[in-house]
Order: sequence, then C-alpha cells, then structure tokens
Amino acid sequence: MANTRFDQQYLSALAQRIRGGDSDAFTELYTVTYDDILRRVRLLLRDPDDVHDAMQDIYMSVYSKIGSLRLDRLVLPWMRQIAYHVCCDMLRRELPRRQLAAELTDDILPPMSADNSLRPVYDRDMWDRASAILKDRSPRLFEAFSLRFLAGLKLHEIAGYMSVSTTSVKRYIRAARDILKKELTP
Amino acid sequence: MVDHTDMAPEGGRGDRDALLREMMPKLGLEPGKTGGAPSRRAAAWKYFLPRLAVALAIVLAAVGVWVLLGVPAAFQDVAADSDAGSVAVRFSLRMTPLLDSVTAELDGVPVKVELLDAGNYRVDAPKNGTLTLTARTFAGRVTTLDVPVDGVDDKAPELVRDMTRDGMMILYLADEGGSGVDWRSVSVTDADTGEDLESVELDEQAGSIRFPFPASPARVSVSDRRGNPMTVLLCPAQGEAEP
Repeated sequence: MANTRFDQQYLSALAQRIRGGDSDAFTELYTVTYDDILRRVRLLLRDPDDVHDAMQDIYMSVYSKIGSLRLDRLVLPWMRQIAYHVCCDMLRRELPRRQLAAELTDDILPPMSADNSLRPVYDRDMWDRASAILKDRSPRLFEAFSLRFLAGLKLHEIAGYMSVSTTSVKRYIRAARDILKKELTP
Repeated sequence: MVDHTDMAPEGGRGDRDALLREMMPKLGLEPGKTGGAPSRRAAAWKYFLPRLAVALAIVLAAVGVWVLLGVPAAFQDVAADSDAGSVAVRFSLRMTPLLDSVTAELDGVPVKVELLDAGNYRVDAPKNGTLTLTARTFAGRVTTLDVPVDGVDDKAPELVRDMTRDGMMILYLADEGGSGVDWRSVSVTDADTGEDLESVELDEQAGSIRFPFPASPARVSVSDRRGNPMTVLLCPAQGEAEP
C-alpha cells in the first residue's frame, strides 16, 4: 500500500473507528495492510511458522496499542515499526539455536570457539550488549545492523526494507561496526 | 492499493482470512466479513470530490477568462455634434473592463480621446476628414470604426448676388451652413494700387456691402468666422464681378 495522502486519511479514519471498538474497521485495516506487513515480515523471518506467529503478534499488538498512537495519519509507519520489533524479538530469541554471522564475531566481537558450550549464551549476551550500544547511538544504525546480522538480509534487501540506497546501508553498517569495535574490543 | 509482491504467502487470501478468523476471538471482536475495503470508496469520495470540484472550478475559470479575452470590444452609440468650428464625436464601448487602449486618428493624424465616464468617450475633430477609432483589448483583439467628419465649416462665404443702383455697387454675401460672415474682415481695395476704396457701407442685416461703383478694378475680400477667405475681383469695364 502506498503511503499517499489519501491512504493516510483513509487509514487514519479506520484507526479512529478501531479506537472506538469497531471490529469491522479492524477487519478492514487488517485486509488492506496485510500484504504490506507480510512482505516485511517474510524479509526477516524465513520459517513459515514464525511468519504466522509474527503476523498474529503484530496485529494483536496493533489492536491493543491503538490507543497509544498519537498521530492517526502515521498508523501505517507505526504498524511497520511494530512488525520490525516483533520480528527482531523473535530473531533474538532464536540466537541460542544458531550463531551470529561469522563476519560479525570474527571481526568485531571478542573471539570464542564455535565448539564452546557457552557459545549460545555468549552470542545472546554479545548481541544484547551490541544492541544496547547501537540503540543508544542511533536507531537507524541499529536497524540496519540488526537486519544484516540478526535477520541475515542482503544489502539490497535492507535497502528496500529501509527505503534507502545500498550506499546508505553500507554506510550505516560500517559506522555500526566501527562503534562496536571501539566499544567492545578490549 | 493492493501490494502485489512476489513474496505473497502460499494460499494468499486463504491464509490471510484464516489468520483473521483465528485472531478475532482472541481480541474479543465479532468475526465480521473478511476481505474488501468497504469504507474505502466512501473515503475516496470524501477525499477526491472536493479536490475535483476545485480543479473543475479552476479549469472553468481559466476557460472563462480565455473566452472573455477573446471577445473584442464593440463601438456603440456613435454620434457627432458640430458647432462649425469642430465636430465632437461621442461613442461608447462594450467590454470596457477588457480594454487596453482606445485611440483615434483623423486622416492618419492622432487626435486626443477623452474618457467621459465608464465606457463613454469623446473626440473633437478640428477639421473634416475620416476619423478612425481603434479599441484594443488586453488579449490583443483590435476593433476599428471609421467615422466620416463633415460638419466643420471649411467653406468660404459666397457672393450670392451683385447689382448696381444709383451709381452704387451692392454685393450680397452669405455663408450658408457655415460659421457666418465675419463683417469685420470686409475690405474693398483698388486692384492695382491696393488702396482702400472710400465710402464702403456694410449692412449686416441685409448681408450686403455697398460702395460707389469703382472706375477701375477693385478687389473685395471677406472671410467667415472660421477664417475661410473669399476674394472677388470687380472689373467695371465688363460690368461683372469675378471671384
């Protein structure tokens, strides 16, 4: 769905009705935004079961938190942010089952052998530390960094997701790596 | 509006509707009709109709301006009043808000155009000829009107009759339809010497000049009030007056 001025007004009207408990309005909002949100979720999550769970979490969050939305005309960007956070949370929960990208651990984080039994805990702990550092510096840098090393997206996929150029994505990731190298390397 | 993507889920609408049916009870909502955007059409009317109306109004206004600018001015109520000394031509113009200029020329020579009040004009023609009125609109449309001017007195007085009586020469002068004989301008002189003849009597009421019959050729000069001159040469040997 394009975020034109008409769409903003239309979705804004739906958001107001949902706030008033209108279930038809929620059904309509779900219908018109489903494909847009699904496309973003499937960029981040590969497993179909995870996609299903994430979509449900997203829309249930949308309905329960619609009262916290300050500007109704921003309902679509707001929903996209919810989708991003839901997917990132799911990816982070899966860290014990898989390892962070090798280029991240080899280059930036302090080394630990893949055979080490503490590796899963180490990965999650490192990710939490890296996340905290980057979120504090710039949400934009963190978003590009997490899409690259948590979701495993390619550069052009990240560029499409964030609606920026691949040059900008490279710049964000380079900046994030430099920050983490400086903060995490003893 | 539908985001056609190559990443649509398998089953598409089926998966979408199934998820919705699964969620609605959890949210405590009525599982209404799935699919469609019933309120989008009403929202589109509400959004686009005023904008279409404004756009249409702008287009109509532009067309109206274009049509008006294409309309030329039109001369109306053209009338001429003459006082023998000049002719006052009065006229009015339709579509005066679109007028850029109003000019006049008398046989190619510009003359002043006076604006009397909204849409009404006057031009004083100092002589006879063709008065060309020109009106130009802001769009460049030009309308012209030629008005013949013939009310200015440009004819000299005439010798209507001459006679002799009791040794006196009597000449009757008239300026029919003109500004009138200027009796102060009458002069009777010897044609050879140029000296004034004596005992010249003027009778303005009768319109005549009388003087002793000259022994030698005499010249009678007179003009009208507009200065149009007339000269008559009297030759006593032939007993006639010659203009």
